[in-house]
Amino acid sequence: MNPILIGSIGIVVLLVLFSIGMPMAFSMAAVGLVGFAYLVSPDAAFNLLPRDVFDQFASYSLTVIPMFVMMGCYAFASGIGRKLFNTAYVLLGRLPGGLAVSTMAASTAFGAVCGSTAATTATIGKVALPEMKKFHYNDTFATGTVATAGGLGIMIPPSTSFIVYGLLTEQSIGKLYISGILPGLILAVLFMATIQVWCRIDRTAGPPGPSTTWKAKMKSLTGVADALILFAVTMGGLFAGWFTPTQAGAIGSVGALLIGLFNRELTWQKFMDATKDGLRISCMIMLLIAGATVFSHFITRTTMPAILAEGVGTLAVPGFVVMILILVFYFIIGTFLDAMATIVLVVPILFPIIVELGYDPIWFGVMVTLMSMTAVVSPPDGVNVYVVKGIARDVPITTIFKGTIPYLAPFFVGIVLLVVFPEIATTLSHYIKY
Amino acid sequence: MKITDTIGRLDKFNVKISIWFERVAIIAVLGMILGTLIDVIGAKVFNAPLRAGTELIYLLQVIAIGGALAISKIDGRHVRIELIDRLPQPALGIIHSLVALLGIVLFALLTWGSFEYMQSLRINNDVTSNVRFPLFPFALWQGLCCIPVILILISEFVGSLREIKRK
Repeated sequence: MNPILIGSIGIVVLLVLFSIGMPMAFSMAAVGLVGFAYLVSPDAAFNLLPRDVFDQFASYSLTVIPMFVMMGCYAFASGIGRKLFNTAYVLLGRLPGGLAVSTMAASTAFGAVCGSTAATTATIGKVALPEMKKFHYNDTFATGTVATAGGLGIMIPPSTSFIVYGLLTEQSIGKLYISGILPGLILAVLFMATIQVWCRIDRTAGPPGPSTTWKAKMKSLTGVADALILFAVTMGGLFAGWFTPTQAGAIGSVGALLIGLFNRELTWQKFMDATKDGLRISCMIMLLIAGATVFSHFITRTTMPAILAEGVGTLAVPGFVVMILILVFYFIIGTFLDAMATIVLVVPILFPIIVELGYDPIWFGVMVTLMSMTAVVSPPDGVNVYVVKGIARDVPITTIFKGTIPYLAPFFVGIVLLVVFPEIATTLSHYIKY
Repeated sequence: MKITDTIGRLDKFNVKISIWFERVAIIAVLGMILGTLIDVIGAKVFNAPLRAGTELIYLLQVIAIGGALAISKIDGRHVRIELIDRLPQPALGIIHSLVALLGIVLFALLTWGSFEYMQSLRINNDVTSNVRFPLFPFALWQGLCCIPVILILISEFVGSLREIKRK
């Protein structure tokens, strides 16, 4: 049988396994194993499976994943998020939808010390949602804003999505990190503008909060010190080339723990819970990568990525049309796959096409990460929405999903800006020399 | 009734053993952080990086990630799409049992393969490049960590079959 046909059958079987609820990591490993056995030999496939898993678990470059995941979990346990929200609230709370604007600002800042969108949503949501309820915010507006704001963490370093993309495509994690900053900030500003428009159209959605004095505003600025120090030490050290990504993650983990101890927020129980949480998240990501590795060995054997790249290169349509199709495809799969799964599953197949078309791999990494943001707020797998549901138990899940829809408009504006002006993503990366 | 008791006992055993594996994993992940920190401080401040720091950290990662496999499965951490969860019985039970069965086969092959891989590493005397740590104990650990996952999947498989029967 033609290897391309076998590859296509493999992808169809994979989608069937996904849709019947088999964990994605298991599905990719299973299809990769059977496909490789068919194309090469059962013996070779049997040897490939444990070696691929072992090689990923024992990969030094992948140690960056647990390090940054632990840093995010410790930052979550250390009360940094609550302080950030309080500062944002004092500074911005008086605006229409001020609590929502504060939520966006605090989530952006917390995203700079935590790579997990779920942890960002939980941290900020726990302090923001009760306040929003107190000021009679509309449920749809309040919960949708918190879920969307949590997604910003995916763009702001340290983001696990950038790490995984960088490892899969052999791109510099430092470059990817620095490239995510401007698009992340632009997206945050666009989301804040959306809040203003929303609150002007529907004045009951987010009434303004009480005003604060300049003295209180100045005093509140101390609340950003923890996050600023942690970001400066870890990301600053990484961007300056003092630390490797793994080292930056380890230093960030210890830094977040020290901040938690200094703030008297960190108890033994919180420390253990954060460690267990970080470990389980890391295990999920590592197993996903191991499964994707087995699957990509099979797909490479089918020669599909090379033939696809070659075919796209000879197409009579301009490269940007292909890129737009790829982005639309990413957006669609992002609505039903997990953010990490969209990256590990599709990047190995599409990356050769991007190289063939002459696009900057760093820019594409930013775009892929941006597109995967849809995955954290869209049904059926929108993890941020489920986190918000866990906090606002009385709000139906459909209301939360509905509340995220208006943020699609600024999201698309952000995508268009990045497609038209790719320099937004790539300019800063030129300053990183490794 | 007997099956219910057996499955109940198996579930309890699975939780217990998974927690033990996780305890080892926690020590390993904290060791990774501490090892990296000592390595950085040693290298940047005292110009004396931790000998075998890199090797120690990635080998600890094998222990950490392997050790967390079972508890992550129990905790439902592995990403899956929940499209079919509203299907009526017995369809849902049949699909769940099929998924569990496929998982059992996959992890049985991974366990067996890991032990064979361990054997080949031992026979070939494969070691890390710097301080020559033997690699085979880590492949053995990988295989051992898969065993509780198989037990969890067996429990899920039997549970799904009982769902079908219950309708």
